Amino acid sequence: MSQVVSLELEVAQIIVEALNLDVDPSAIEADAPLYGEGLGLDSIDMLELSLAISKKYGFQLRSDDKDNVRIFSSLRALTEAVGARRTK
Amino acid sequence: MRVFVDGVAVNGPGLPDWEHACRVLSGCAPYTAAPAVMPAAPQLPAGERRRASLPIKFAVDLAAQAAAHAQADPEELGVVFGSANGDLHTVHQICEALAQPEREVSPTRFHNSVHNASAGYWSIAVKAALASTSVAAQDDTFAAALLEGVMQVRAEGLSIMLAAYDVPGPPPLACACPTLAAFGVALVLRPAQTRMSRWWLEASVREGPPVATPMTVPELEGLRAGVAAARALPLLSAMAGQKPSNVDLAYAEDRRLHVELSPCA
Amino acid sequence: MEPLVLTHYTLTNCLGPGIAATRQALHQGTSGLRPCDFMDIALDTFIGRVDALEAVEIAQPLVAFDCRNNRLAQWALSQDGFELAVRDARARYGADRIAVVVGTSTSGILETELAYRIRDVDSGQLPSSFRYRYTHDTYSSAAFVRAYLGLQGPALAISTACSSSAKAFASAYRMMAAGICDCAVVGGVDSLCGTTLHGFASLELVSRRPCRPADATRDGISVGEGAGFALLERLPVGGGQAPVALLGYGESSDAYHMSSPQPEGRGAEAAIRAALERAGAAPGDIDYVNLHGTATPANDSAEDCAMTRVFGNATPCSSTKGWTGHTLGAAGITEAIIGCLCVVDGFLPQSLNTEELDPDIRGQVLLESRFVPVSRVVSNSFGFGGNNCALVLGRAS
Repeated sequence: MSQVVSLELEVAQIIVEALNLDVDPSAIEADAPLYGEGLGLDSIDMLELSLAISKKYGFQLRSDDKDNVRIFSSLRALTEAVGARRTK
Repeated sequence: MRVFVDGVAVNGPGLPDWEHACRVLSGCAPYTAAPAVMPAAPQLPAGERRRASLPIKFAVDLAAQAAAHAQADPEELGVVFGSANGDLHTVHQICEALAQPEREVSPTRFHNSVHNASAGYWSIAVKAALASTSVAAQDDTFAAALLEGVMQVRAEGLSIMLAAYDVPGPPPLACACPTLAAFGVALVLRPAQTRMSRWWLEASVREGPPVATPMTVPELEGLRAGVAAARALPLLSAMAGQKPSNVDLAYAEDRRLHVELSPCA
Repeated sequence: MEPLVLTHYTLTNCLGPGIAATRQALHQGTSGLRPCDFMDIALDTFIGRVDALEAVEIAQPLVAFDCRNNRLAQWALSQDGFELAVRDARARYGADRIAVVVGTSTSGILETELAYRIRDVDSGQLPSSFRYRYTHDTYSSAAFVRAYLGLQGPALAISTACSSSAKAFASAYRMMAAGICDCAVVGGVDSLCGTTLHGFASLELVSRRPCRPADATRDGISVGEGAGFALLERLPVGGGQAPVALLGYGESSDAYHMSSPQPEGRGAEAAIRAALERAGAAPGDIDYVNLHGTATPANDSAEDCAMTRVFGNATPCSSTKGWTGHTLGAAGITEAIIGCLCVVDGFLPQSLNTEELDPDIRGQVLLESRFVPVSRVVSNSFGFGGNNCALVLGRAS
């Protein structure tokens, strides 16, 4: 459990750093939507985030990936995808 | 070509805003060197602000201050931004990324890398949907931008938000492309006198030799010579002086832009 | 507005050097796009690369300006008798009465990219041979063109991304209207580099295939490179190419997003309407519109919204980026000159590479080229920052 939580916090930190967000990573709610409302992210942010995730965890996320809507739906979903697909 | 100046903004080392700059440039207060203030640019929507680079925020803040000084609705102003080098920070980050084996360019930095990024962010911030341009002419960028602004006012009957700014790049680019300090100026230009019009200016291109009006305070002359946007300083001094005056700015390598300036009655 | 005549013009891009190469490719329907073979850039995409630039030698006194972007500018200037035409103009007007207005987006950034690859390991310094001011500086190509042509009039670099060299016409018009020059060399140049190829790839805006404007399955641009220049004069003096005039221009901003167009094309519409108004032309007076037509889903859809609001669906239109790729800061001049060729040749180019027209696109996109009399055309150019420019070009009567 603690490993999942720490990965979630790590991913939250990547989101905050990559997008220069003015929020505390631990304050990002696990199930809140990343896109649109909530953090106020748009399609460029999703591309920026994909780049940061691929650099850190060694797997590609292209926006034409059918799973992308689900993967980027929330911090929890993104963390699960990182956990499942990471190569580093 | 006569235009009216309704508002002015300045930001540079020891010249944090027009009010203070006006006192220094008119000789009422001594010049004290201090680093230029890097603004937070609260005018930008949150989503744009976190993506905006240092030079973008610097330029947007200048424009906002000039609009406020002119009590102008920024939506109604055409936009002319000038910068000798644009955003060297973003160029540096992109070129650094391209020198790595993965060559992964940040999409945000790429869209910030265009020379008109500052003008674009400004138009988004204030919903300015009129013509917008972004120009460069090395050391003569301020003169070229001023001339473009004046010609737009005259040819189109538009009111113009004119801004010229330069921000030093990070090393190693800073050595290849030296800029002494961050400096910027913004003017609101009008085709006809309004109740806010403070000065009128008449601009004309003259034959060489390109002898530019210098600054008498050595530190300010150093700034003028060391930053392209700071070539505006003699004009700002004339504005601060509140009396009719003539200023020459080097333009197009071997000519000069002659500016006659006078306070509005 | 007072029409200004393009008395001479020249164009170089992946279709080849000079007007003849572009004209022949347009008439024959042959694209200049090819799988990416630019330097060591390994991207799965098609590009519009100009052959032989590697072999172009910058004129001796100007070697400090040597870089891909200025080589491309010189390569274009040396075609179509353009230098001779400028020499004649210089004799007529005087070097100090001829302005130079050059649009470029990335200038010689490739030089900086290459310099960063060979930074000193210890100090991080760039190599001493690196000359930023003469290569990458935004004004470098304007300074080079001015020096190469021996001109001493007003000079300006315009850098508003992909509308840059369309806006050069507007600025040159204002200079002539203000009387600070009697004629102007206007144009633009942009060349391939890692910044734009990798940058557009990072935005997922490049296609893996040759770009397919207005196609139902379009999926992005093909990055190209090119240069073009025109001599703008009040009245045609002497011979020159069949004259076409700049009749109007319109400029606007989306004020919406840095890298996505306003979805309903509101800014594009404002620019087109302003250009028509300045030309004193009604939408029905326009025989053809050369679209910005980058072949990204967003651009072509937004532009079509603007088109149909202004023109309905009766005005033939097409993008020529299937031939040249997107030449970015040079797109405005490239497509303005293609517009001139349309008028001179009585030719309307098809939307090359478009296989299945997007059913949501309502404009009359030409799927086949045709020869018909053409009097007036509009050319659209839109750039990052929501920067829009439209030009009206037509027969100089």
